[in-house]
Amino acid sequence: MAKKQVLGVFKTADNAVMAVDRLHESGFTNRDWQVLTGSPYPEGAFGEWMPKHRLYAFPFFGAIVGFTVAILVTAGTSVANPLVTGGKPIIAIPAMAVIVYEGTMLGAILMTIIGVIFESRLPRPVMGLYDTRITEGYIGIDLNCPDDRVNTAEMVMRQSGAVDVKHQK
Amino acid sequence: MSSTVHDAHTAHHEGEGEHHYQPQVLTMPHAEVTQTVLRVASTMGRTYKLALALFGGLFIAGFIAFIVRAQDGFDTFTPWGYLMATFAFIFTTAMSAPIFSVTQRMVRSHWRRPMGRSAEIMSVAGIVGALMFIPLVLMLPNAADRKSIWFGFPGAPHVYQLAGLIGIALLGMAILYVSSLPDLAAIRDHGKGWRKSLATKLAPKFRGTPRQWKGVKAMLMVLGALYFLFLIGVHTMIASDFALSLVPGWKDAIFPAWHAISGLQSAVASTILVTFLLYKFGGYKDYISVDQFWGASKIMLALSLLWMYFWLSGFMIFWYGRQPVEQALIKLFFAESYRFPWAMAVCLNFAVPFLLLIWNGARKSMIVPTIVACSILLGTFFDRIRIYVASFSVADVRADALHNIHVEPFLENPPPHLPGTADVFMILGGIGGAIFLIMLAMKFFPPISIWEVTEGMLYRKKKRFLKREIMVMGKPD
Repeated sequence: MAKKQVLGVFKTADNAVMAVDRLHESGFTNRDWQVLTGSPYPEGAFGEWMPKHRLYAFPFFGAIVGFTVAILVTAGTSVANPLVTGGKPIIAIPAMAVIVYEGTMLGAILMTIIGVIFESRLPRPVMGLYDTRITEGYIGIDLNCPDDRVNTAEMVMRQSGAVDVKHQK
Repeated sequence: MSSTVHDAHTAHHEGEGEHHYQPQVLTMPHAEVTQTVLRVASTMGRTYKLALALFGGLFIAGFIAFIVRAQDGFDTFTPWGYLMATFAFIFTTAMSAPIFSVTQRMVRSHWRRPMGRSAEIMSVAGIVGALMFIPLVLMLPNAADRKSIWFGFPGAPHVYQLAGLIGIALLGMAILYVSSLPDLAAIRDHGKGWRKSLATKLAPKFRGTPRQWKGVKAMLMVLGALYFLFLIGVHTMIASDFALSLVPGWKDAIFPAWHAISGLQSAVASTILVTFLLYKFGGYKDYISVDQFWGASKIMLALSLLWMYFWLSGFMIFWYGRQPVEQALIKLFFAESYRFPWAMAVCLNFAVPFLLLIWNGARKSMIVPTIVACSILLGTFFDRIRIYVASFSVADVRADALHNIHVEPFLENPPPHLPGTADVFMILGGIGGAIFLIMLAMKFFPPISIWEVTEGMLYRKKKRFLKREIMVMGKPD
């Protein structure tokens, strides 16, 4: 069955939550819709589905790469130019520690940036249904709905106080 | 001020006539915040246009002065001392300002919401800073045959200095862009003319889904951590290559750290000053209150104490060391040649902030933290002159140290180098150019973060508690 997007626009968060409850009563699940807001609400405030992410893996991988590269650079340059400074060993841990720390952090952070872009699916290829009132504090419930249930979804949203309901053409 | 905005900051204690301070609680609808902030940000009054013309004119005059001075070449350091001091001032104040927003966002302070964007917008001064920095960094000799922090690294110091400075400038502007993304979506939805077109290009697909909000917040955290890492590193590199390594025999491990502390102190001071200007003249009275000044002034006091502590820790070594080179350094930087800028720096960066901000009543006001912020910025200006003009003078007197590893330490004390007409115009041009760009950016990026202010409104409520009203605050994470 083909699916269509339906966007309900609500003036208050309470109406949006009521619509979500009624959609669930009508057989929709929280994987069928997402909430659009003009400012960030606490996670789970609308009972929305929280996608699992693997962001933690990115900095971990980056840190390992950064640490390895930093060790290779510091130890490698010390061995390549064996200059004894202050009677200390050629490969001296205190002198390497700062570069290794910076390298580890840099690797972790750069990979986290890549991870955030990947996990956030930024930039989005398509805009999808939208209403400009969302940046004025209105709440959007963006429902992914089978063709034959569009009318039901629209009715539920209007009964819950939607000020507008838009359909995908 | 709108009566529906934030209720009085002081609540009358019935019967006793006492006034209890109450934090800001905004009660206006989200739509009103969006409409008023966008309206004010897109309106440019006559005074604003005149100020833009003035600072733009100063920038052009400064550029002409630079061209005139460049006719004499870049073979000697002394003529460029004031350009370096001006660059260092812009770097220490405006380019370091985003650190205020970064750190306050990390510790989830709520009072910073209306002032964080001011700090981020100042990152655009990095464009002027980078333009000034390029000729200065090219003046530095190769690090291979002299004492520096680079130990003969290939490409040092030029490649790393440029990468560091351009990196910090780009990171600052990246933080501004990511932080403004939801507000750019609001301009896209409700703006007009070129602002709407540009915002549509910059925020084409932002809809406000939970995944996008999570992405914006996570990206701000990560960019913030990277910015912090870079900022301290670039402060260290600039202090080491443009001051320490030019003065043979000047060994001070605390100086670069002190330079970075000075950057943090000036970052808070610049943000407070810009926030005050936005409150007083910018048309944002509904969103800014004593909360922001009270919160920031505590940090400013702590950093002023730290400024003195770090300086004293470094100075103690010279004071008690009493080696000939240490005596010469004390004469140059503190006691003789650059005594006046040093006295001004101690007075304006430490004494004034300390003596004024130790009083809670002073911290809990708008005007005193602003006066202290101006004092710190002026003190930092004198201090950058003291450090870099003095170091550049020594670089010419002891040019032998720029091309030899084994050289005698610096023992002379060159006279103070006073600014000429071209120097004055380069100073005014550099600072004017930075202010010009910041003012211009404020007419596109809303200086009050709409999404952060409206998010704060979700969590703050006023509630009656016995005989007075208190602010109740929710903390979702």
